[in-house]
Amino acid sequence: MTMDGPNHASPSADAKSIAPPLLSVRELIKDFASSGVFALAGSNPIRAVAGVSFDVLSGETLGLVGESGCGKSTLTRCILRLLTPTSGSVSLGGVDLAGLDAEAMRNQRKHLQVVFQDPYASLHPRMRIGDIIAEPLRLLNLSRRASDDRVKELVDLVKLNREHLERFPHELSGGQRQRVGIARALSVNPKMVLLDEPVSALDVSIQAGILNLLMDLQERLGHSYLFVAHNLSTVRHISNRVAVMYLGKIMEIAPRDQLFGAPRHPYTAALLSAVPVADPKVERRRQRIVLSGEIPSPAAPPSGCRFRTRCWKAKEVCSTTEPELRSDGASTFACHFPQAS
Amino acid sequence: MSDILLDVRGLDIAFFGMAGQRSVRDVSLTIARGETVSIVGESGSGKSVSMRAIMGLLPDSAYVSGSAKFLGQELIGASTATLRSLTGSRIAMIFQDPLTALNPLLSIGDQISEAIRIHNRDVSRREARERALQLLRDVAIPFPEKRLDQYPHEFSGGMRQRVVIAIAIANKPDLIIADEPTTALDVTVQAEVLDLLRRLCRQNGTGLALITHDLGVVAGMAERVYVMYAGSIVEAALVDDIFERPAHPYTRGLLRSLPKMKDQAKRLEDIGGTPPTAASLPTGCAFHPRCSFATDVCRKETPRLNSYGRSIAACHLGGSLPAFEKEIETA
Repeated sequence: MTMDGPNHASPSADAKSIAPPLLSVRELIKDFASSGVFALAGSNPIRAVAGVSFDVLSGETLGLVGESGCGKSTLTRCILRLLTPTSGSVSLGGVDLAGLDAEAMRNQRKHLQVVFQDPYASLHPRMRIGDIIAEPLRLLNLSRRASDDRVKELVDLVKLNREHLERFPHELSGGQRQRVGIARALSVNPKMVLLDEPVSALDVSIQAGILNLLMDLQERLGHSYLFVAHNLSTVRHISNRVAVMYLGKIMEIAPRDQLFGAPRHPYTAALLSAVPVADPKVERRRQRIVLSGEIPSPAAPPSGCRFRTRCWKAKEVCSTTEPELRSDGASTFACHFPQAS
Repeated sequence: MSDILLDVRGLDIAFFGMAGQRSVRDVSLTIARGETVSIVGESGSGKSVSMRAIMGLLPDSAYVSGSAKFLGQELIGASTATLRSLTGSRIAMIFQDPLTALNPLLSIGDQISEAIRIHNRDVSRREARERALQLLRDVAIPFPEKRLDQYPHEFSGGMRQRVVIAIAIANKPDLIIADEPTTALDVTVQAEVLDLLRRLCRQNGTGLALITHDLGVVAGMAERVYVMYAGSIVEAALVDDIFERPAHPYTRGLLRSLPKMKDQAKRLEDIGGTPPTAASLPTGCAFHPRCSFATDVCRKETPRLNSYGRSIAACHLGGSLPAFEKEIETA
């Protein structure tokens, strides 16, 4: 496999409905036993991901946003099989990853790669950059020569210098390190790349370069991204569609402009209204939707709608009946009293 | 702006072993009573170090020179006793991480009471506790009576930062220095904490020095802005001017590199390269290797701060830069 191989075409809007999804997550649940010295026998497990379903199409970027504790990291770890889901399925190109043993999963890893948040922690400090990028290539059983050529190709691709190959991670800046992380992820030509907060540890002036690189690479190579982040303006910039998570569930999933332009779920609306905008005139005029209270504990989620304890629209029915995800044609959302479209 | 709270002049900071390389060079800034001033910059730009130096919080390996006067009283080189009498009473600090700012072994009530009693010996324990309770109400913590006897680990991140703010305002300080107070918080919580901070400062007439890297936070909070790059102030301006007519190419680059919440998303303009460290400072203007306008003079001579309209900026080309085209956001 080389970079110059045939590219997947980027999906056009009308192709989306026809093509089968690349990644398909169905009813994914992940419980953590509340364990440890102080755990009571029979106490509730913590349900970090509480039945999540979504698709990622070939060549698209799905943004996944939510506040800390909403389960987005647990979800990505379950997809990567760094954690074993309690139930539900994750299928990639038609293969159900959740049912695979370690050996079979290892074979699938070349299709599914990840770029982590912290470029300081995710690179081995005592390995040279060249070796770090070459490590996943062992999955492909390449010759030494082919592997070396591939590493050089990758370094050019992420716009690092070839002299960086001989260096160690501590000799590189944060942005350069993140480029190494991206090169390592792309080395095996994955179909799907999970980006777990890939720019949030970087300075503003460096973030833009990494976002541009990620988008350029996708255009050239045609892989899909699941872009997990808490920064909404970054997510808006890179995503085709966006999913909003709250307390282990998806509250709303919609095409980018739909979600940012006309959010249907009150939580999405509140989240958008909280984002500070870099324009003092806008900031002075704006009316924020201020949420009361805190995210409840996933060990004891509220009855009915999970968001109702902080929602200004909540009525009786919200505490008794959990709203199902439903579609209005443009957005899919789980709310009894959605915002006007 | 008559009533100057904090007047910093020519602040220089070097660290032991850095061979004369200064981490902060010639920083001058003022904060007036009741004013919110933002100090913006990327990591390593010297924004936190400058403020810590003023508060006497740097380790002994730091050499600090220059002047920082708080209501006329010199802070640089002041005795520990002087600084102690000021910090927590007239000047308060709020740090980024509320968990490390609080003592895990003391209840919230005890920590707030301590802050009150350490500066007012004649306040009784009971009185201090009453005032702590009122402070928890002021920072809108639900069930304050119950919360008073709880410990930091029982609070969420946003609630902890509210407690830190309660401690900061306990003695009605003239100035609060907030170092990235909401960076560790989620957006909805950040919005609440910023609203709270804004309201309290306005209510008490407190000056606020807000250190941040988030230009959205700056736009919503500040009246004036100082932009720092590689240890120096490169631009100082009113908040509207910073966003509408940034005078320094670095400020422009920062604004252009932000993804927008409105507008059609297009390719971001990144500032190439990386910020220099104190040890690898380029000659001339520290920003010239990353500046698309740089000329020979930028490579040779360090620019001084000059006035451009109402702003000041340290750029050789300040007057001759093309007009900044602002991409208008509407909310």
